[in-house]
Amino acid sequence: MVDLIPLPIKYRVEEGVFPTSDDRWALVKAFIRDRGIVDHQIRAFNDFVERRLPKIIEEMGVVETEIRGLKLVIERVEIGWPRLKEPDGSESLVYPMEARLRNATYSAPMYLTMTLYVDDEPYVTETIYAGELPIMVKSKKCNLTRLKPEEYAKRFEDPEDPGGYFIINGSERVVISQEDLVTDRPIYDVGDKPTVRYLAKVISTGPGYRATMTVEYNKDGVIYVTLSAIPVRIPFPVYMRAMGLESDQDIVLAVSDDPDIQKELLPSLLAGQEIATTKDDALDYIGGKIAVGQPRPIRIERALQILDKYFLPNLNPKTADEKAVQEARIKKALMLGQVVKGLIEMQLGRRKPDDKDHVANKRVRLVNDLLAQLFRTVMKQFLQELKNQLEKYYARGKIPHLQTIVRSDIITERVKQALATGNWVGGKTGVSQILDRTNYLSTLSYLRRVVSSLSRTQPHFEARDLHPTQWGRLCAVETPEGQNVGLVKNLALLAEVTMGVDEAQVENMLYEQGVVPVLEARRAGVGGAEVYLNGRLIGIHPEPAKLVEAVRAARRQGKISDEINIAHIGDSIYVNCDGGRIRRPLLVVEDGRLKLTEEHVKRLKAGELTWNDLAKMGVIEYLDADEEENAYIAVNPEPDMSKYTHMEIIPSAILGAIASIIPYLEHNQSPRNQYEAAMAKQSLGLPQANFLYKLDSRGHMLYYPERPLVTTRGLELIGYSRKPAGQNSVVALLTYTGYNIEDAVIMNKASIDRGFMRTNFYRTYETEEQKYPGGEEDRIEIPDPSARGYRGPEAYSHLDEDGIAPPEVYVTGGEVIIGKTAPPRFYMTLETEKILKERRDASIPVRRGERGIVDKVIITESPEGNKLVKVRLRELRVPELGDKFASRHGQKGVIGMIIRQEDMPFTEDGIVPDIIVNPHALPSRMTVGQLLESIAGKAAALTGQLIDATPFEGVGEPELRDLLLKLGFRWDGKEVMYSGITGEKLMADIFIGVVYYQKLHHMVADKIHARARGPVQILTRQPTEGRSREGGLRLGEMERDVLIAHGASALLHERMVESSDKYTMYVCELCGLPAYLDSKTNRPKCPIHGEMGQFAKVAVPYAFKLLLQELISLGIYPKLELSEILE
Amino acid sequence: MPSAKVIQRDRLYLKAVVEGVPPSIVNSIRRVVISEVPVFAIDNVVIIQNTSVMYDEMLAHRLGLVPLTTPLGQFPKIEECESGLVDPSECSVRLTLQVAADDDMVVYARDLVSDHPDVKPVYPDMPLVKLAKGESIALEAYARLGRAKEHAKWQAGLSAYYYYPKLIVKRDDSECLKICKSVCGEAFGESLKEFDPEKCTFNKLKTCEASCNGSIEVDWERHKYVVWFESFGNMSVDEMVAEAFRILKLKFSAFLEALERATAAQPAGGQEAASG
Repeated sequence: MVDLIPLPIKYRVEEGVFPTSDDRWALVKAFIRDRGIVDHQIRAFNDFVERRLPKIIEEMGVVETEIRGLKLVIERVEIGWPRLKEPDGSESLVYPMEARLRNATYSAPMYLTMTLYVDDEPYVTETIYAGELPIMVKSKKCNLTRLKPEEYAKRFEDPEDPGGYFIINGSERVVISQEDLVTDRPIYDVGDKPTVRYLAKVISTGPGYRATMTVEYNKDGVIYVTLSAIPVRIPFPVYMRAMGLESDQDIVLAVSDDPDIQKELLPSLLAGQEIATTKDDALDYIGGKIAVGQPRPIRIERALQILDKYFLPNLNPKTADEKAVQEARIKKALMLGQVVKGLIEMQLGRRKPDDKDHVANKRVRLVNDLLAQLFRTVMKQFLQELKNQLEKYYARGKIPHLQTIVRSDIITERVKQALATGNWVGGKTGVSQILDRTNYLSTLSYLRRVVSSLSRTQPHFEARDLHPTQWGRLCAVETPEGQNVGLVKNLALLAEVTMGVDEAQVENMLYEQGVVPVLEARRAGVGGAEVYLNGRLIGIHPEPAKLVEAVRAARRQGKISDEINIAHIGDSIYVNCDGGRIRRPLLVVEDGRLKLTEEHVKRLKAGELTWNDLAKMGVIEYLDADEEENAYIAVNPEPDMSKYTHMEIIPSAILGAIASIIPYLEHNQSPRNQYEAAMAKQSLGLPQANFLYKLDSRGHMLYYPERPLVTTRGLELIGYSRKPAGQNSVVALLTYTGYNIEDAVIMNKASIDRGFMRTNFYRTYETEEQKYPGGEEDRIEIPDPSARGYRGPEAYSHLDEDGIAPPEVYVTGGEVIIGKTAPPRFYMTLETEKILKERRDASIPVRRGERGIVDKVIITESPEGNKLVKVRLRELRVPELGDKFASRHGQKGVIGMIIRQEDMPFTEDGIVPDIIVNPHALPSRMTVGQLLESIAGKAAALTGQLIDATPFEGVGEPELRDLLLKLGFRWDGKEVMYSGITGEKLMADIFIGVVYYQKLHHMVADKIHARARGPVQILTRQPTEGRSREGGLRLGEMERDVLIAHGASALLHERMVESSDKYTMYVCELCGLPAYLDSKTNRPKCPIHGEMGQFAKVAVPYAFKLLLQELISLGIYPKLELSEILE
Repeated sequence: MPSAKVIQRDRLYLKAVVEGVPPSIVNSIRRVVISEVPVFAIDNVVIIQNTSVMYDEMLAHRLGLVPLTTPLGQFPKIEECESGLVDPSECSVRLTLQVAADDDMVVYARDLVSDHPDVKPVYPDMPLVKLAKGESIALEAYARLGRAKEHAKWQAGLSAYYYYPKLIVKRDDSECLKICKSVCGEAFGESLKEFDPEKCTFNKLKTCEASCNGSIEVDWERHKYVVWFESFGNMSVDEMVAEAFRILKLKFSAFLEALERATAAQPAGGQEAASG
């Protein structure tokens, strides 16, 4: 690995208050060094393998069969290392590159150890191979993690590749993190119907399913409950009773001990009394809604079943013993009481509706969650199958070896299928997507994306707005334009997502800290603050401030998990320990002093301390959106910190990875930064260091990528300077020839000649030698001229004897690069024997309109054992008229003219611009950052140092001005310039400097298209559509209108008929139906009058004829009435 | 009467004060230097072997940009080369590059072996490509005399000029003097009035005007310029400028000839145009 030349970077001069920008960014550096930039993905996958998977196995632990005493107990699950199974049965360790090249799946075997019980006696314990689990690249189970970074090159891997994706059938796929509303806790809202005043919803998650409970405060004061499993409104006391709180007193106490609230319960209690007064009555009533017409005992039985399974299933006990079940029922009743209380508080005006867009009410489902959901379903099916097989064998009196009856392909295929298509269980689509490798940033952005589950067609204005609580968690700048605005988000640079810690442990910890359980407290009249754990009321604490302090102290001392957050909001304490909370790290301020010391920073810089050490020492702590409500955060160090609780690690914490590359971002109008965040992902550069070996279906590579002269600290940290996507360009602001109006740019021909913005375009073509039933197979060879669809000898002229074009051969559109023949199809029954023997040509030609040099040829074997050939073409793309470029400030433009160097305006130093931008691009867009970058770039180029332009901390304008002045340039960046054409001094002084420009992947070479004549569609005989099909350019409705209005009927006729789908049709004048041509007599025949019809020849568009026929097929009689053409 | 006074000169750099011509004339010599003075540059590369990671076309592009020494006297004039009056081989030189890496190494311009003793890379230390152990390159490169009009690799040098500055002091201002001294250095003496225009440039003077709040005003002498030429090293700046003047003169005479031809062919042309 080659290191960057250590260029000096000029930072803003600071007055040296600790911590300085340098110190603070040293922390960020440690954060990225120790955790990696896609840590949330990798950690989540590790969490799945180490925690979630064993838990699912434990849940499903016992497979009972229909046969008495015959059961399977799964003891444990084990995951091996990724390896590839060859068709001959041999196995070998596989590294990601091999999987990519061979279109294989990077997966590891999964083994289940289970014991078979016969007659309730352990019969045998076997470890079986249960299927393949796709492995995330660079996770703990990835083979790469066993290598040192120096050894990565041997495996054709880029050590700086972030990992965090899967390889499915050779393509890199990312599981996109899904944003969802928080589960297992009530969300209060105002009623959506006139009869409902307030309502609360709890989406409760059981193992593998969700059940919603809706609680409504009715206009009449009664509070009703609706369950997704029992969709009938029932007053809440009925449920309370059913769960075991029989007396009204208990019910009231389960809600609150506040008399004001208790008073409000009266209507509900009365309504409840009318229905049921005992537990059994209540169960009977509920059972009556589901088991209609059944006798009472069965109704009660059914009601209990449903309630135990679908009433707040998140509170279901882990074990099925009677005591745990009883306890769980009380817990559920208390949870219902809590929700009821919340509704009454709303009625009393003590509570406002919850803000659904508050980040505290959102959870991000990462790979662990999504894979667990998928796996649970798949596992169920797998075990069902196993059970069926077992029963079948047992019925025949045999006890089989488990491995022989296991269907290992169920897990393998279902998981692979879900990851390959993105279609998840539960109907979610687009969960996994192909990793974008346009450049390094686009890859990062994909891995850090968070998608909201809200539909994109509805407005959801509030959900799309930037919410204050997103600060430091989700990037404030990076979101797409258009229908996905605000719904597709990206993690902020320092954000992290929790994995979740065991709730029961935290609950016990809280009881130890003096939290009194709810009923106990209310019965004993203990006052204080209510304590909520993950949104569920668990008890009361008399001294809330002390509890909060104690928990925080314990966390800062590392005594309890740092994933536990505690917030004291209003009169309540909220403790969170669930997974999927986006949190952000902050510097802790205690007693008016930062806990971070210069010593810490020194040791951190020296590598003696890690980021996690600091977190464990309580110097840094993560806050979730709830706990942040208690924090008062200083952005920068201040003389008196006593009023603060925390300090930001960096001032630009609101930004994500992509937005961090924008220099002087704080000087731009905000949408411009948003545009740039989108465009940075389209810029061409060096996507990855191993691009020579990566046969992605398409890709680009910039000839001479440069690191930006005007840099930011974030840019350096995410590794952009090692994988840049742009070049530093001398940019002048003037309207030179006028060929840069409307955002066009003028480019210097000499710069282009010297290699400015040159890129290579790669496209990979691939084919496989497939095998067919009957021993037939494809052959990769030079096709014989007798093959059906033979393209003529010229098309195959580049092929070697093996039927593949060799490297460094220049090929153009239509020429074959992989020759292939396929066996004949058999359904051609009408054809003769001879045809049946002929093979079909199935060669792969270069795409129409494309050309290139064969760059790399790979001949390998797919996992199915077929010969697999991949050929990559490369094409040089020199900037040309119409290619698109952009600065880092959302200022994009296409080349409007290429001017030679001698015609370019020049300064007295002989400097000519590479790019001339029109000054009109600036005033209305207010991208002041670009002007500052230009000045900074000029100073950087003149002094040979990089200039730091980190948002809020960059080298300031006065410093830049001083710098320029010292170098003999005007402080405003303007210079006297002379016209290269006339030689005269330009009237105005010209703003000229150095700006980092990006070449965007929209290039003329990919889009240029024209057609005189060409293919037509079979059905309508109209010209095809689209460049790839050599289609025509549509003369659309509005264009048609213009011609009509103009009276240009002949032109219109020519366009719509003659040059389109003209058709000559015979019409029978007697019946007005189109006639057909009888092939025997070669005379028109009418479907009604036969040959006796009176036929007229009419010229119509073929589409019209088609319409008539379609109408006829519908049973409609379209009658044409003909008359003479009016001359 | 046009005149020129050289104020700075070394092998590759020449600076002169030129007087008495309109800007278009000074500009035309600048344009000729940039786009028309012929030099050698590699134009055709026959790659025999290239196992480096660098693509053939990229290597060829880099080779093309290597400046080659160009002893113009030893070769036919560029016009003869272009018109085909001489055998094209007389206007071209073959260079070869043959390297095999025993260990990781960098191939430099000096590794190019020329058939002509006086046509060789100007800067031997220009890196061309890095080779890893076991990689090798063997190629033949054909350099040809050409002009930068066609491609920037044939550019011989650079030239630019500025208007001869004229300083008008409105009032004495020590603050202004301080700024101007920091920008223009020794051009100023004890006061703003003591100013030597040849030691400062037009743009620099404008720089100090901009920060002087109207104490000074900057104007320029009409038809007076400071012109500089810089050769990229293919030949000395003298040779380059001489060749530029030769080409420019040729262009002037060609223009005159064309003009004469046009007037001779249509003696009544002027009248016709007038009546038409």
